[in-house]
Amino acid sequence: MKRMSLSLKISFSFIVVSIATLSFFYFVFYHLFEQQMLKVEGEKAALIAKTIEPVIAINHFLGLRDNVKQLAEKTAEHDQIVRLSVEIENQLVWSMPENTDLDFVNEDLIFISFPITNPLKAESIGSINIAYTKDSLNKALQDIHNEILYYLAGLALVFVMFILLTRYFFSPFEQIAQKVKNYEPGSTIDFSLIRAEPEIQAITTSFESMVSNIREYTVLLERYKHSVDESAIVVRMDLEGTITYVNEEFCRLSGYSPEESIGVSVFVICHSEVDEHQCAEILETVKAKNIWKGNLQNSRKNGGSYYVRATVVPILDEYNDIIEFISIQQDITQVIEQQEKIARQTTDPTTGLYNKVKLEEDIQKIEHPKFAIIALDNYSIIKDYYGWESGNRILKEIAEIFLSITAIENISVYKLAGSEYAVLGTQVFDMDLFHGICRTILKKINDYTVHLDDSSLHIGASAGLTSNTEHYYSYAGLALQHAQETRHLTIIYEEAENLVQRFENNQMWTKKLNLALNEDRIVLFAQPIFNAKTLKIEKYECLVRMIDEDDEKVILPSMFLDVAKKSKLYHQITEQVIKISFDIFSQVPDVHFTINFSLEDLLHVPTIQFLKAILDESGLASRFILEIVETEGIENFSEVSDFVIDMKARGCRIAIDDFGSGYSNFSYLMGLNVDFIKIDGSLVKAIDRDVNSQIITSTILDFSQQLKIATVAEYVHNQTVLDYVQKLGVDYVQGFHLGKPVPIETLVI
Amino acid sequence: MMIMSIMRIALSFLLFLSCSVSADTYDHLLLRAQASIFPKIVLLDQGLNKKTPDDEIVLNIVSSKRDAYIAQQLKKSIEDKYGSSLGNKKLTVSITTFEEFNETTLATAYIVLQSSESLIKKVVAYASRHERIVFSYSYSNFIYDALISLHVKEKAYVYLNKSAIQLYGIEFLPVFYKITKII
Repeated sequence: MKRMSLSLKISFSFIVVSIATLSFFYFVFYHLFEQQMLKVEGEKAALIAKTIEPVIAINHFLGLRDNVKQLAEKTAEHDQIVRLSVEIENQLVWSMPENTDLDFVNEDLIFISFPITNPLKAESIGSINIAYTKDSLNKALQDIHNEILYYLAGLALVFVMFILLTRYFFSPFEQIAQKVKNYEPGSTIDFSLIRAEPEIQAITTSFESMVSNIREYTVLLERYKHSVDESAIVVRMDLEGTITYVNEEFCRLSGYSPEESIGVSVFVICHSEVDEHQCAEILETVKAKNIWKGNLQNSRKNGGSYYVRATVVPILDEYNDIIEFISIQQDITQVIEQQEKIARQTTDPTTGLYNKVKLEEDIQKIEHPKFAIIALDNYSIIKDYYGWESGNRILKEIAEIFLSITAIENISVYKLAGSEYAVLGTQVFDMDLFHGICRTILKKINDYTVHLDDSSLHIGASAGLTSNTEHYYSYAGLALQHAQETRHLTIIYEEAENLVQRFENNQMWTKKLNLALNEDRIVLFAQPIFNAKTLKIEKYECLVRMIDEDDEKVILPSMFLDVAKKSKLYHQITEQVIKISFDIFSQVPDVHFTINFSLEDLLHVPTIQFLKAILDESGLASRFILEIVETEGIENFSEVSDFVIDMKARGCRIAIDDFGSGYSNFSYLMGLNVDFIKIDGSLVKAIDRDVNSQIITSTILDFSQQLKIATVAEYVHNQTVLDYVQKLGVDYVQGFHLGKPVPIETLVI
Repeated sequence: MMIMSIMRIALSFLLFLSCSVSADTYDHLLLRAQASIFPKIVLLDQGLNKKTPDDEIVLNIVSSKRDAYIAQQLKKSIEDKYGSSLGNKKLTVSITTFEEFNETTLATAYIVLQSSESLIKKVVAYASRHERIVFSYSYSNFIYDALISLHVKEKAYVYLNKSAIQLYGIEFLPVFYKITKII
């Protein structure tokens, strides 16, 4: 329904008020006038009576009845007197009409009864009764009515003129309204053609100011929009989630054009990768007029996906009702991919638990950590016996036990090398509580039974705990080692006195090592390796030693290598060994030499780069044999395989040290395409009297010969052993019986 | 002056009319009317009380001998009408002839019948000197300064001699003037 215009409202208000006011005054004054006229008419009638009364009285007094009658008759001729009677001394002297009953009531008449007084005495002797018509009054009122009708007609003209004038005065407002109605933000409004009285000019000036402000804000908003469009993905949706707008960034990332996107549900085209639960959560949040923030995986047109950090905002109108939703998204695909990469780097691939890298990161963030290393006791044996896959299965199932305690807040678990796990607690735990948690884990592991090949096996575990921040790993390792040695379930480093001594011992050796490196007291010894048939020296194994600063005694590596590994001096020692070895053997022609490389060496990039550089520089690759020691635990490192291939491509040869202590790694190590196998010393040492050693060694030799891999028997400490290994067909022999290690410099002399 | 001349002409005309009535002929109906009205007019005299020290109104009918019978009838009519009292005063009606009239017969008012100018004037002179009303059977006697007369035609008219009012010095109730024809 069209609303009445303001001008008409004012006009009608004026008319209504005017009519009401006039009506009020009309009725009030009409009533007063009528009353007054009625009174005047009454007084006129009374005056007539008063005029004739003395004459009637005197005539009556004189007995002139005819005169009385004539006078009454004459009086009755008055236009407005419809009835008149003269009553004297209770006798009706005259009446008109005859026998008139003046007691009747008629609202159109005014009744007057005037007393007739005796002329000589002040006493009433009768009355003059007059019924006087209101014709005069009615005529006067009729005249007034007629006059009012004329005035009303005039007033109607005034009203019409007032309406026209009002509409004329208000017409600029309609023009302003029409212009403002068609106004679009950013455009201008031309008010110049509108009639400009001061008030209207004030309004148009205000509008122009407002339009100017809106234009400024519009420009600003456009710039904001441009900024957002340029820096983020923008998607606008209606209340049903149907897309109503997408920006270029969205099209660029998703591959959808605006035409393909608009009109389609956002959950179909964008968030098809988002599960129903998250969709419901988003809708529920924004429909409750709240802002939803979170990460989403959006789908691309080509079937791929990308990740966004989305902020979905409900846009509300002036009545606080939702009119649409806007989703501003930041492309975080790279971040997510980086996170996933980092996660892969910090996660153990077998168990899915965090690895040592993550442990080192996490522990830095904790002020007073509680740390434990838990190692499975029988893992190596079971793995060696039942194979690699069974070993992995055990690791995974044990990992589940560890994961079950991560429900405890402020506890994290990690998978370390081999069969070691770690538990990290924050400062909220005291050592007793943390110890209790570790014992719970150990109990669960001890209760754990693994079924392999119709056998049920129990896997025990031990733990080393510490609350030390700086040396957490070595302390816990020491405690674990001590627990394993003493067959305790758990050992807390800080509560074990001999561990402190061990640590102090480590400290001492660290100092010694530092000094030795600085004073070139890290030296090499070379032990000859003989051809088993000719017993001629064909190779040397380079062995590291340290010269004691006090008495210049030779210290074996077993005394300091572990300490070196823990104190980060290990790689310096390795580089020292490489440097000296290549220096010496560059001066000793036609002799091959081996250097031992641990897993840590192989994975230490600077060390390997150093080795490659010296190989390229020296040209001794063809005489160099890289001997991999500590092969336990390297099976899953593809880097080892890549490294071996690289070294062999350079002309180096590869040897595996201590082969035979386990069997599960046979096939894998064979896959490395090694050149030499050095049979484990524990087998060789007892081969002359232990049947098992003989069988294992014989087996190793069999398949080595089949694969054309040369074999080396270490620890040949007597002639019996030498004879036996020669008899078995070993290619090379090494041991004190044939030649002890000598300072490498002696080879040059 | 002009007005006075006209008035005199009018009076002469009235006198002529009265002469047309026989001197001995009285209208009995008029007489009865006068018998009824004249006493009451006496009551309208505002100086009546000082003229009736004994609360007695004396109406003296003055007639010629020839009209004695008329006078008697008039007296009788008055007495029949009012008896012995008029209003709250005693009423006495007496008859005197013009010849017998003297200045000792002071009445409250006089009613003069037809007579000669001199006789009538004699009564009028005496009465007016004592501020007594002089009623006249005919207003033709107004030329002799009779004060009031009554004439009945289609209705009864009370005539008041305007020129004689000041002579008598009598004041009537004001309303009386409203019903009189002043000539």
